[in-house]
Amino acid sequence: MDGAVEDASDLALLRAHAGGDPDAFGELVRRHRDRLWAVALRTLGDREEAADALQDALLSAFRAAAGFRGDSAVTTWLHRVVVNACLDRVRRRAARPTVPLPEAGPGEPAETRNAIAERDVHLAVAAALDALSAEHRAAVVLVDVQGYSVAESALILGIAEGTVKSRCARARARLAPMLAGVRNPDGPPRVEPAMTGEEQ
Amino acid sequence: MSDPTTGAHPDVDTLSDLDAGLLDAAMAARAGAHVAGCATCRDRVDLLQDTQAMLAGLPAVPMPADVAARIDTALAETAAAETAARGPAVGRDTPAATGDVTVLADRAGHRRRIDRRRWWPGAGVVAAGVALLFAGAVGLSAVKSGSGASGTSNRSSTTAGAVPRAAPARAPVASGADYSSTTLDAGVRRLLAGRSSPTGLPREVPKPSGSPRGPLAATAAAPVLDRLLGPAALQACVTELAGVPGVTPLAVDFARFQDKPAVVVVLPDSNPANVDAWVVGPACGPGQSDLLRYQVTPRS
Repeated sequence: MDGAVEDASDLALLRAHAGGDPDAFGELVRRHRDRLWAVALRTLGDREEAADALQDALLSAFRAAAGFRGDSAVTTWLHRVVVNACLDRVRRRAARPTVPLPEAGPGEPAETRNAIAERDVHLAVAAALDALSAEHRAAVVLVDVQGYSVAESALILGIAEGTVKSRCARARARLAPMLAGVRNPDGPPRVEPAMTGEEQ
Repeated sequence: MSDPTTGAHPDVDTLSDLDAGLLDAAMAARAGAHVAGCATCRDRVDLLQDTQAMLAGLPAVPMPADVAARIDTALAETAAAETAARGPAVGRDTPAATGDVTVLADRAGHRRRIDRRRWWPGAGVVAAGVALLFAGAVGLSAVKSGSGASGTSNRSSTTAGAVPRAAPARAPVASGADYSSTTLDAGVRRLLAGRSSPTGLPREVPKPSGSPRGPLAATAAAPVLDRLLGPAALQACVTELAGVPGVTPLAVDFARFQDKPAVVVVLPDSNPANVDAWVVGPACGPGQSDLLRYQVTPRS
């Protein structure tokens, strides 16, 4: 289904829900839940928190559906509700303990790095994401991880496209030094120490 | 950490901005010139790009089953609470016993059809524009029906593109069948194909004694639906569902849905490969859809 068609039927489902169909909203959620879950999980970095945030978000969307104005795609709106719930949760946390970075230590032998399994790369990327500020993380998760366009991400986050781009660029600048040790070992691996000192 | 040339290198934010095309022309030219001549910075830019690739390479994370179940439950509970708060459900004002449904169809597919002309007196006028819009789809299903169980007669007037005024692809029928959310798709396709018995077991309840009252006997066993037998009332319901006036349904079946008297209204979807199946209760009309179920159904 192309996006426009999908959205037309999303809108019909939302309208059916507002009209009292007890199953319509559940169907809408089932259509998109994997994407919404991925955004929540990657933005919060914690399974239980992501589940709580997503549930809160979907229940509030359930209640707010009648007020949906149709000024964006239904999926954009759903994502916005979910991302906001996640960011609220992050902001409510007084201090977020940062996960130890999976940086390759200076003494680590090169063959160990080269032998890092793909799964470990994924874990390292997830852990590095967790070290970002929530705002940077939300932007880079939407654009780089989930592949949403800058325009749609801007709608979801409620910020300007330029802000999305700059948050993504800053996020990559933070992530790169953390991931230097696990990246595909094509290039020379020894530049990362010079970059890590540049946190602002 | 002690690279002696660090001071001369653009910082990593600048490199990232450069890579993302965010620098103004002057900055971009200066940083670009440096990077072109600096292996260290080229490698950092490579690393930024690798980082982007690693982010994009994160695996999809489908919602775990326990989270999905938890959310489904929470939504269902909220839906139930809202329904309870909203007032009596459709089923409660249908004292007719479940077994009382008159089924006007038998297994062989012979059925009483309600003459389209009684149903859609103004169809030619009202639906002309709609008919043009949907002529393709309508024609398609009409052709399909012709190749189906061709024994039954009154569909003969539904010749494919030749009679565009025959906007409803199918005259309303009253199968009396009991649809469910799982049989609705198949049932809708059968309706479109002119076979009104859904996949589920048709309710083969004997007709009550006494002669049927013509077409209006269709809902004799579910009198709460009688109001919608009136073309104006039905059209008002259709308008409520479609959100715009003048839409002509592709098919209408007076039936049941999960044991409640219900009308299945099949409307065109914006995607010609699909139709929208709206299942409504007896109260469907202006300002109130009385929706029991909505489903986008692929035509095939």
